[in-house]
Amino acid sequence: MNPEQWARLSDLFGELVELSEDERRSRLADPGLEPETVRALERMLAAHAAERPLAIEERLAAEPEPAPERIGPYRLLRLLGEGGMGEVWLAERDEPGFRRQVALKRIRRGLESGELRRRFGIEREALSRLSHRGIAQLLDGGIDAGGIPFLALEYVDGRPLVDAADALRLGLDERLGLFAEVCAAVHYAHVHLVVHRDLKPTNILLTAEREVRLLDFGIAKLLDPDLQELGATRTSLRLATPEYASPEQLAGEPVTTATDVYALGLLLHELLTGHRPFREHEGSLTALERAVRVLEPRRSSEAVAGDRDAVAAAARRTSPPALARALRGDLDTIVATALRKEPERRYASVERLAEDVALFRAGRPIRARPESLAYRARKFAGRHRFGVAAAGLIALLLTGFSIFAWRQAAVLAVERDAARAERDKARELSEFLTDLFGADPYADDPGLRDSTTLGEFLERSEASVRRELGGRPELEAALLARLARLHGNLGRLDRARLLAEEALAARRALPGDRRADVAESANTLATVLQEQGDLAAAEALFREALALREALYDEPHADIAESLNNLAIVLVERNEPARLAETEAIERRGLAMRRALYGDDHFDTLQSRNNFAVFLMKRAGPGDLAEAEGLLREVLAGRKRRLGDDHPTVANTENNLANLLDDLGREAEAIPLFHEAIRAWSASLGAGHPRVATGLYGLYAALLDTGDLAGAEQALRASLAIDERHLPPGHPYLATDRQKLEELRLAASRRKTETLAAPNSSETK
Amino acid sequence: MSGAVTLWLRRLGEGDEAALDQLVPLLYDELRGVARRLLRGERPGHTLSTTALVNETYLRLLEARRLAPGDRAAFLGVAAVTMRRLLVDAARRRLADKRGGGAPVAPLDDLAELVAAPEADAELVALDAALDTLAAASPRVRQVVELRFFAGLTLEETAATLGLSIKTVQRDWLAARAWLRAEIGPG
Repeated sequence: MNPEQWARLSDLFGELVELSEDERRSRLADPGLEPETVRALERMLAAHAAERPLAIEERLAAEPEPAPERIGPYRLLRLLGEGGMGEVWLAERDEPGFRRQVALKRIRRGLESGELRRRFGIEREALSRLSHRGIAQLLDGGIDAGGIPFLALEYVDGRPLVDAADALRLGLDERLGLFAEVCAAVHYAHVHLVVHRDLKPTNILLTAEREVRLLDFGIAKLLDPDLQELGATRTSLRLATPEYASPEQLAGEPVTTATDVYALGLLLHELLTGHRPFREHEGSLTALERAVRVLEPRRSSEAVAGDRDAVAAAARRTSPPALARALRGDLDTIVATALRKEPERRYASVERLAEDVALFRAGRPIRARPESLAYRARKFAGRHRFGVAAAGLIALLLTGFSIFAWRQAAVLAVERDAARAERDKARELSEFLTDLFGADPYADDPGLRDSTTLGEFLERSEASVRRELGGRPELEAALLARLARLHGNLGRLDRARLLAEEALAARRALPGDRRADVAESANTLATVLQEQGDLAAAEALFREALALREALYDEPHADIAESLNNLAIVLVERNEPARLAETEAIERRGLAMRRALYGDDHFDTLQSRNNFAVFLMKRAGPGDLAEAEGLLREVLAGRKRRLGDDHPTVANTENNLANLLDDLGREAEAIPLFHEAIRAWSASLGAGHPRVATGLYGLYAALLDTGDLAGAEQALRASLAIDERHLPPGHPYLATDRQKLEELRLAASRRKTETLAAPNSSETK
Repeated sequence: MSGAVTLWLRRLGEGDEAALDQLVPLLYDELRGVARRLLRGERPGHTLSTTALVNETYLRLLEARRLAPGDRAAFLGVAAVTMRRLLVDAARRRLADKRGGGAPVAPLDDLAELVAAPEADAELVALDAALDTLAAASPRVRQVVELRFFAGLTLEETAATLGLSIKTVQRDWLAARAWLRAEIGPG
């Protein structure tokens, strides 16, 4: 039957079923219907009317299977677990004068033939070679009355290692001690030519006596050449647990002892940090595979920096910053060495891994060395040679990263570029650079991006880029562009400008079609120039980037929309009455393009709507402020819904709305919004971030309007304190703020004098 | 911590047809484990429906965090396919045993045997073939029938799972059921 025939049959049946007998007969007598169709319909209608259901339409039911009472000489006590190939029972062998509890493992009935039986044989063979106190011992094996094979293993009464260590709140050294025991057991198995292949926390138990036991050699591999046919020579992902699979297992490449080294690296990472290195990628198997095969794992020390790791830190009797400090350096190197993608570059054996752990515990230098910069740069270039070009990838990381310390007269949070999750981008960049250059810019306090430390780090990075990547001008230019951006983010505008100019010139000079890169660099440089107040030059470059992108892409396109957004911002800032109409046209075009690309509620569209509201506030024509208020409230609601209360862009919009309300004389509504914006920025970007200064400045102005001089002074002082850290000493903002502070002090003392001098004042002391 | 079932379901959702081959054995394990757990505590003769089985399995996977909460629809689709294969394979095996003659009656052991009435074996095998014919004409109808028969979903649940209107599902269902009865049923 083909789709058309079924559609016709189904339609006609649906029609006929509604009709009376007579109507059906006359409908079926239609000479337009083929006799075949009529016959089929008649049979269907008869079957429908007969109400004689298929057996499957009845409830499917059957007798329950009684659990077996004994298997071989063992009495089953209770089911411990069920897995892919069988069940494990707690069982007891009750011979006179001899009682021993065992874990009895047997193949699932009905599956006892073929592959599973073969694997069961391998497990038995593997275990029979191993007698180590760290490995659950094989005690017995046989075939039950029904012909189903079983294994009797030492029963281990324990908990999965990581859970147990957390429950006992073991510190790092105790964890390392347990890890060393695991290594000893795995090493013992390797010496006896058995690779476990499925090492993971649930297969490694810790007993009440704090001894570790390896379980489940169910997918083990035997290494002896003459037994190769017993073990699977080709690994299959089906056999391993995806979250704990090694790159070579995912790639279907041969499994060796290095596979267990990798799994031990994962275990160590989890034991130390409380989670797996690629946890962000576990939502999709494709993403996880890609991450395991391509991405460098985040360093252990960086993986514990967030607030969400407070629980993990507490379980290690420490705090996230202290934990990060303890992991940084040698432990990072040990984990990273075990987790290298290429098996031959990991520790040569589990023994070597265990030795480094022992050296670390003894306070002596470890043997493993961090990856060299040259190696990382080669890897990076190699990884991106195909598909996305290196420069393209970096451009991808760069766009949307913009935390410039800038304040406009109206103190509005306009959002440049696609300011996508600023904080995440910041972290991503720092990680990338750390990965590339092997130093941690936020070493002393991951929560606070101290501009001095980061500035020095950037200078070191620049020297490294020039030294190491001089031979790859394309990559060098891309990295210089990135460094320019980072300098800009720190308010180091002069340096940012020089680097951005250099990157742009380099990209213009490179052979091939570099329009996308040139546009990206022009965009970066323009942002810096705008920051420095060179608005005409900024506009020219934004226009160049826009023109390049318009020539490159069909509309609507994300990059064109980004350029329109940026151009609109500089035009709003130039604020030339003669060009209001042009500005509005560009604003509207960018907004419409993002609506077309993403719909109304998308992150980028919300950004354009926010910026359009800022434009309306600046223009302040009839009805503009009311429209801006409505727009900002919609954007705020959309953002909170999508991003939660703490996102920096939520704060941007709150701040804008607060400024608008303040302008409208509605301070009582504005002040709580300023507080909320300050809170959200502090929570997301850190309390010392320039955006917090922006919010505090707005709060100062609003409080001043209400006559709360003390509150205003407090807000202004806090704002100034932040700006002093980020802006160069001669910056005009600083001078203005100090002057305003002085005015405030004068006003306050004048008011005090007036109050004291007024004998009739009802205020008492 | 995402479970293997969730990972494979995502992958299936990403268009990897081979993921189905991974999921069916995984769900087979789960379905069977749940069937036995349900039956262990029950009186002999108690009946077990596909619906109860699939629902329990879903809840259990969810509880064990091997399944993400958003994956119910995808899970039900795969569970229905798994149940279909399970029941049909068991029916084929039993039919082959009977034809082989004199083969000992296998002990009650498969999940399929816990939930299926053996006298329906021939019908199940015929149903399987008829469903393939139907699937060639309309994959959607195949899904509707599978969810109804093998996951035991109501019309409303089927519609919600497939993201279709109840009216559409109702029409598909009535036509498909009539066609299948006519194709397979006696007379």
